[in-house]
Amino acid sequence: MREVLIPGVNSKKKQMCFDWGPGEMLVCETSFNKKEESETKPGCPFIYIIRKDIDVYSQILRKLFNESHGIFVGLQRIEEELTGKSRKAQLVRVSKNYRSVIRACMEEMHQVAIAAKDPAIGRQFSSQVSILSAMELIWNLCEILFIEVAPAGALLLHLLDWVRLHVCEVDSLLADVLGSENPSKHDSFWKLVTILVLQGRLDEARQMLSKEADASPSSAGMCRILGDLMRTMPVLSPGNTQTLTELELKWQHWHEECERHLQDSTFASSPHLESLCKIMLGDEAALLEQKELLNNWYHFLVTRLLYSHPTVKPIDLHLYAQSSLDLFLGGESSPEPLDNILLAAFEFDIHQVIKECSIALSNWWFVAHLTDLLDHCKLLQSHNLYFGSNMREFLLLEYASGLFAHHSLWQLGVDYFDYCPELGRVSLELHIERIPLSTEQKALKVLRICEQRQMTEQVRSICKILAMNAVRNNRLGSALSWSIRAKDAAFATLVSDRFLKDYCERGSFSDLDLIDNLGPAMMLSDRLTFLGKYREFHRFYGEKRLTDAASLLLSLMTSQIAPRSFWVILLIDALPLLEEKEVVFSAEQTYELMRCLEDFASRRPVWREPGVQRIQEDVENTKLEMLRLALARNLGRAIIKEGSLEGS
Amino acid sequence: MDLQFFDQERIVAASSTGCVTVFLHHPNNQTLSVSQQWTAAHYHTGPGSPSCGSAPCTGVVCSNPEIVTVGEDGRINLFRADHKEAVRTIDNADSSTLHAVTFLRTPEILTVNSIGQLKIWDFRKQGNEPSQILSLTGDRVPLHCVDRHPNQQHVVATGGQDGMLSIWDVRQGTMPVSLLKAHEAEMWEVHFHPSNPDHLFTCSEDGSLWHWDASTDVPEKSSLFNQGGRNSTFLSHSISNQAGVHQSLISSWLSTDPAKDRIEITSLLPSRTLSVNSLDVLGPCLVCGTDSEAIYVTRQLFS
Repeated sequence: MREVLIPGVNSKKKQMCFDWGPGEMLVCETSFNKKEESETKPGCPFIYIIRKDIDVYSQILRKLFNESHGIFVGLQRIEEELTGKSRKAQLVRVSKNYRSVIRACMEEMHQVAIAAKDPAIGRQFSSQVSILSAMELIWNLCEILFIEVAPAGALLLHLLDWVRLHVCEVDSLLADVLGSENPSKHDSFWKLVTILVLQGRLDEARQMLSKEADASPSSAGMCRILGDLMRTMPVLSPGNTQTLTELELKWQHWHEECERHLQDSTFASSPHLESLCKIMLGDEAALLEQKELLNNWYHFLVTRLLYSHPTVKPIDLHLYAQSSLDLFLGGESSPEPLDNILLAAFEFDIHQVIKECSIALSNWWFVAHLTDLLDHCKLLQSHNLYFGSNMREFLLLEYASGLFAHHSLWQLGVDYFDYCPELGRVSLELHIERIPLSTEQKALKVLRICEQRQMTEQVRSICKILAMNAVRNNRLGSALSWSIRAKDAAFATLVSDRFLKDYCERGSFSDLDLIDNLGPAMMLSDRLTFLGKYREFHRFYGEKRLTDAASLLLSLMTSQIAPRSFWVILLIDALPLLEEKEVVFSAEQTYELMRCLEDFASRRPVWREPGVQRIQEDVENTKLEMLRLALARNLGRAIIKEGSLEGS
Repeated sequence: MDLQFFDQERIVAASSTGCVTVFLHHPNNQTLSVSQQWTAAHYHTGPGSPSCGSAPCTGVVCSNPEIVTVGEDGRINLFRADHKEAVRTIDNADSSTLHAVTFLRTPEILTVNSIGQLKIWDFRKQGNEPSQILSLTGDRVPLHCVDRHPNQQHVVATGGQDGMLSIWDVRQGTMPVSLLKAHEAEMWEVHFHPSNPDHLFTCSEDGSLWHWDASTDVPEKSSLFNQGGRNSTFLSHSISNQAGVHQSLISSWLSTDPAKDRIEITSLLPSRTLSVNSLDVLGPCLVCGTDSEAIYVTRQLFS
């Protein structure tokens, strides 16, 4: 439960209202007062958007999201090819890829934290670095236990690597000491040697001891003996063909030899060397003395296992883990969330690990990707959650939904939805319609995604929104191209009506470049076809192709594609053609025209109100009279022409 | 939404807020500062649009000292560096969105729009009409990008929403010279190589970047361009007859002889990525950016 303070809002005086969104919450003050006071002071006029997930907006974490998206998609794609022995190796490689991405992010954030001028920001980045470091620690352990599934023997080697990777001061200390003039007299010399022994880096520890032997001849003998013990410690090396039992046996012998040296007080004169020997015997008290150097209980666990149970089996791990944790903490402090997660991992309880991580981390990134990878290792039972999808899908859906709240990372989310078989498509359909479309390029990307997945409903609705915006902004060409893309006949009709309306008002066409070049798109809607043909009529008239113009005009009227409101204009357009010196309309055509005219006249709405409409009606009537006259005259001339010899 | 170098130090950027900015690059401390800005270069003025409705500026092209920008509002602006206002504005040049612009000769520009038309505008003429309109008579496929051949000012390449690459000769008729089926999705940018114009580069929403090599040299040259991607030869599909043009002036993009006309196409990106939005090429270097927020650079294009 976290309390977030919203500046400017007075929750004590006023009631708040809120509404949930996909990844955000809207909050504002209402005008209702909490107490029954008549407050006339105006409240806070703002609506606040509260976002749960701020990680999505971090500049450096963006790289994590982008890179891991690539790895995720790659993993889904090679899933079909993963078979047999190489499967495990491939999955381990994918896991290492994820981890290297986390480490790269950590590095970068660390650099930024150091370079930050404001200490508060520096602290913020440092805490992010430690969160990432914890994530990598957990992932690494999961890789060793669940993906690599190392058997006894190899298990310890992996765990040693794991610990060494996460304690990095050793190398800098080593460089420090070796670089000094007199290494064995350095202040941290013994500290360094102890750490090396604790981490199982016995060769380097031996080298250090030889330096000490050179420096002080009195302890040369002891150093040599200890060095020999270090050298002869049996370890399982990869490629070694000895079996586990052989190793156990050899190790027992070696352990007994160390014990003997301790009993004989060989190292009695040098407390440092004696404690080193005790450590190598796995003596818990000696190990616990080095708490500061060990730094955490899992280091203690691994060292303890190294020197007392090197052939530990995976199933026994959790016993040692629990006891190590208890011994290390010694009842002083209680385990932290990270400790619980690691313990759950040692117990091979994957669900517990995921659950604890989900609670502890602020972002779904980690659990979504880890669960997906473990699912590919076939480790998760199909554990159905109550609303139908399994855990992997649930986590991926949550993560992807979080991505959709971002103005540009939503493209990554699309791929995640694609790989959720049950609810992915539905979620995508809902989210994709709500992406704010600020530019046409973004809209085109969204449309491409929808078309690739046959989401025709979404395509139509998005194109309609864009077309409507275009009409509002007076971009009729854009509106038309959007309705063509969506094959939306209704909208094409709307756009054509706009053009025709403009023509009626202004007497000329706007955007001739569009109408002249409609091409086959004209067929999309009747109104559009009419528009194109009408413009063609104008062109014919302009080019003096009068017979063509005449037959086109007639076909426009008789084919019923002209809207009623436009009939007057069409009829009036016939006038100049009728008045031409040459007879343009044949008798047949003239009869047709007359029929259309009477048809129109009879169906005209009768104006009941007096005033302006009356004048309009009069004007129209005059025009129609003129038309009737012209038609009659033309009929006469046409009959004569057709009747005479040259006419037919 | 578009970027171009103005001169050695200055870069012009076109933004989706309708603003055109000139940035000055300081090489000594590797920073950029704003040298000049035209904030309302592109805006909507429809009956329903808000009074401060800005429109994205979709394309910019520079030819020192002039800068031409086009936008979703169908407007063409001609700016001159260090002049506060636009030198010339053609309002409502197009009823649809203008996607890209390029210079043909210095007073002439060519624009492409979302109803598949190329329009040539001459700034010496008054009035708001284009001097020429070219288009395909088939489907009105929106055109997204255009580039002019570096040496031959009449040869222009355009890329469309269906991923088709068209080569046009603006002196000849209103139809393209060749139509090449290229990408599976919108082609966002097309560029001729500035010093080797026989090479063309296109990038697309389908996540690929292609290198088109139309040099009619010996065939074994083609193997040098195999950079691990798909490699296929393609015969260009010509439409108009070029019989009238003098053979020696013919560019390899315009020639129609099928036997000589083999174009090598190589995919330069190693694996499928999200959309490749933009590319630029100079000398042996090529840079491109993708939707997965990654920038790919190669410095050995012809090695």
